[in-house]
Amino acid sequence: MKIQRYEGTADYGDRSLHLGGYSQKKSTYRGIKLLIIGALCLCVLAALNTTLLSKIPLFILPAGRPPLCLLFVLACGYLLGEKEGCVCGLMGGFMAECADMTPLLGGIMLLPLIYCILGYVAGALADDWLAKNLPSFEVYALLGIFISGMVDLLLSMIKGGDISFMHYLLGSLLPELILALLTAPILYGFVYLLKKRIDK
Amino acid sequence: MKLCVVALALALFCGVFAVMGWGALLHRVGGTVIYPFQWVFSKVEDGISGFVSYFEDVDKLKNEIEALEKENESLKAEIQDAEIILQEQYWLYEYLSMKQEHEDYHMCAASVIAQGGQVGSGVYATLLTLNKGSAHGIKVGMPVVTISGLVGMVTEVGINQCYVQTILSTSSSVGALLVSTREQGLLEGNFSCLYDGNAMMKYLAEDAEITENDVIITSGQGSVYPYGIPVGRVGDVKVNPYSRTQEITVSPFVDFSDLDEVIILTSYLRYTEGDHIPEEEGGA
Repeated sequence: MKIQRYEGTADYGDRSLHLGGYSQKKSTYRGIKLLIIGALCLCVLAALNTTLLSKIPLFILPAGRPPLCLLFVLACGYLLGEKEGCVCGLMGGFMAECADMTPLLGGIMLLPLIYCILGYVAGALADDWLAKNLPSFEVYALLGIFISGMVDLLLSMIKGGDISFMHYLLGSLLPELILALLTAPILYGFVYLLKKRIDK
Repeated sequence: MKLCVVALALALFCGVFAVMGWGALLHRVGGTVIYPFQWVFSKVEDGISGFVSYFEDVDKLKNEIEALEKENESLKAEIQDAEIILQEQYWLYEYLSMKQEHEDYHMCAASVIAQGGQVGSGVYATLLTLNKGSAHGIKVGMPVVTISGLVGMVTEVGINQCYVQTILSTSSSVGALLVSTREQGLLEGNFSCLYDGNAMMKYLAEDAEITENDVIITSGQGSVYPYGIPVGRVGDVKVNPYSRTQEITVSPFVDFSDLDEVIILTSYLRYTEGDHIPEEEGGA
């Protein structure tokens, strides 16, 4: 159920205006709550990513870490909407970049922009194209991580790094994708519960 | 939509700031916000890794214990081997000493392969089976000794084995004397003291001076035992009222409950108390 449905229909007169003001207030309150909780969650996830879950062994593959911030952003966009995905993307990208303390993507702090776009696209696709379920989210998440990784590789190459694509794929991107596949349901479920809690 | 544009603009500005050289400032701000969370999680990580390493250490210690137990077992076996070698070495040393002391003795070392006892002898052997027989030049009547003292005499001989009647046997009698007083008597096995592993020395004069713990040796009387082989020590002394002689319980030097190696005297010079002059080459 979307709150916008009750907004601004002049046909209902004073009562509807009253309801519209109430719902607008509620929507603002929801947005602020979401912003705070999202920021807090992203802080925790960024910290987790650089401490506890920084090196997860994957049998024969090199140890990797799941992109928790990106998954959270994508889940937010996917379940809450494009606007929420976009804002979470801004914060998530910023947190992910700051948590590492080593500027990614060639040191030009492009991660917030990429996350922002991916969060927005997730929301847009979920509303119009994709069915809102876990498998389709997983597919989109993997695609998002792959795109993010490719942009990272491209910028690193532009900056002058002599990087082997296969080496990058097997040594960095593949472990990240596998771990993302494993952790995506957890974050999807978490955001789903968060949404239910906020919308209550 | 407005919010999305603002967010995108902010994201873009972040990049622009970074290009302008303010990226470090942004990083510092973000890092400061995240730092408390990172600190907490790093402590949790330390705790977890400590917990995991504890179990890793336990496994490591278990493996070490297993390895040490195996090493301990092999070392125990080595110690046992070394003890056996030491015993053998000790025995050979004593054997050599005996050979040097009694140059007239011709000896044949033998191992006890079986022990038998009379009724009431308990753990003490009155009959021994040795691994040497006529094939090795062993004959009936040859005395058998150990480093400690007299064992007995050969009573039966097979090709590769012989049977020895020990001094505890009730059929055995050995001419013996007390070292300090030179009093002579006859050492016999006796049912009354057999269970304790002792023998009885009889026919000592009623007025003979007998001191406790005096050493008893063979007297050389008779045709079997050479002179001077230690037999045992004086124990209880009593007077037989019928024969008017004294009787001594003798505690042998040889432990008849645990005999492994013995020496058969195949030949020796025969002489007796008093003359100390070799008369003839003896043996059976």
